[in-house]
Amino acid sequence: MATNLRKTIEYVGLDYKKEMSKIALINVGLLIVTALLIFFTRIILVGAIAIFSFAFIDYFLFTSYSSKKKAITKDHSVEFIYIISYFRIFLENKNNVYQSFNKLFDYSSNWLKEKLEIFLKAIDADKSVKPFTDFASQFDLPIARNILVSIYQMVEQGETGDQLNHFTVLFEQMNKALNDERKDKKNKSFDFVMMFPIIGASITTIALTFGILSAMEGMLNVF
Amino acid sequence: MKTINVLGFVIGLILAFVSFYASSNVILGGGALIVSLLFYHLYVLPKLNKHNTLIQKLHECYFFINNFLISLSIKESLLAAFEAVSSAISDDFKEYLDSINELSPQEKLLYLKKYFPFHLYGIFVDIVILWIEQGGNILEMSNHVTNEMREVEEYISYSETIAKRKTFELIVLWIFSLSVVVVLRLSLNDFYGPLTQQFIFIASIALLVIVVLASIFFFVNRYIKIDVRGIDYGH
Repeated sequence: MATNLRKTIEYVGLDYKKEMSKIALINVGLLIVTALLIFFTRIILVGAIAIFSFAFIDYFLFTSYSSKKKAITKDHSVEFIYIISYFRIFLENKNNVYQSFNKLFDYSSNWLKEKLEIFLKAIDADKSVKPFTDFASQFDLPIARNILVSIYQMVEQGETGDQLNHFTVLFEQMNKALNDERKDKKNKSFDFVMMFPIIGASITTIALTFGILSAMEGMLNVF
Repeated sequence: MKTINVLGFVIGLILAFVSFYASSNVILGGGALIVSLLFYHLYVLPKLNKHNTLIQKLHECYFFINNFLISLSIKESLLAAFEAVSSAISDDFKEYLDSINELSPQEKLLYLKKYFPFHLYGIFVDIVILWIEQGGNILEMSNHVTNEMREVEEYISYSETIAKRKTFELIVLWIFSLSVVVVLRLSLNDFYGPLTQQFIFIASIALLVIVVLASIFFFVNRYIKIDVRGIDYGH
């Protein structure tokens, strides 16, 4: 488990030792605050609430790395779809597979430029399908492998009509899925915000209820 | 004065009125007005303006590429294509084009990468240059670029429609929510005096103002977020 956590933290570009030190410091700080609260209030319940809060905060801290990793992986998958769309444009404009991949550097993030460089060097040295499948394995997208294999077939058998059609079908499938997903994501992104007016109304109602009860308590005491 | 600027004042006045009317506290009402005006003008307005500029440029890029390619396929001359598209562009874009008038049409296309810092525009320019060098059917060559631009345009239109609908929904929900405060204030008239003396009640009204501003903060961030690649990195 520790190895997995270390790998996740390093994947998102952070230093494992620094992050563990940060978490340790936060926990020590919370412990000190809890101790002071118990000392001054003399209420054991405060300790119980503090332990629950620690668990929650530590859970949040540790799971934040895997959330970041998922976001980065998703980002890479989306980037793959975009660069394949550019690849298709270059391919259909008098560039061969190698030239088309070379042209993608101008439109890639630093991470992808690094992967493209390794990929292009690999296909120079190894004429098998392995460099293509290795490149596809960088992306958490099942269809990426099919697309790269289809591109390999174009290299092996030439950029024939059949090969291009096969590639186009796969690409269109992937592209449609991306378009549908981003529209759905846009629609759902506002759901969280729509809760705020309900929270506002709840605050008002609770405040008024407490206020009225306090006022009534005051009146009853008078009687 | 633009609607978007007036909106900030309206939000500030509504929040100030509700917080003052609910709490009978001038400091709270005044504080709500100042904080909401500052928040709107220092955070919300710059974000919305930047977003609107980007959306306008994306629309302009789409129309420019489409019209340019159609004119180029008919007239087979970059200069004639530029002249044809110049009649249907925004004033800002026209001004930008006029400032680079001394450049050749090919140089203009390359220079416009600064005005349209999008990947698809860069690819479009590459294709036009390839057409100049090697010939061919420009519409066939640029078919995928125009398809990609059309998908971006469709997504932007869809996002704008959704954002406008959600804006209306949020406004209606907040009107109902804030009306609860006003109606309770009206109906509990006799009880209200002691209520407004309680710190918890005043703090709750202040918290309500914060919740309204927090909802605007989160809403604006979702409103301006568009999932379109090829804007942030590349050239």
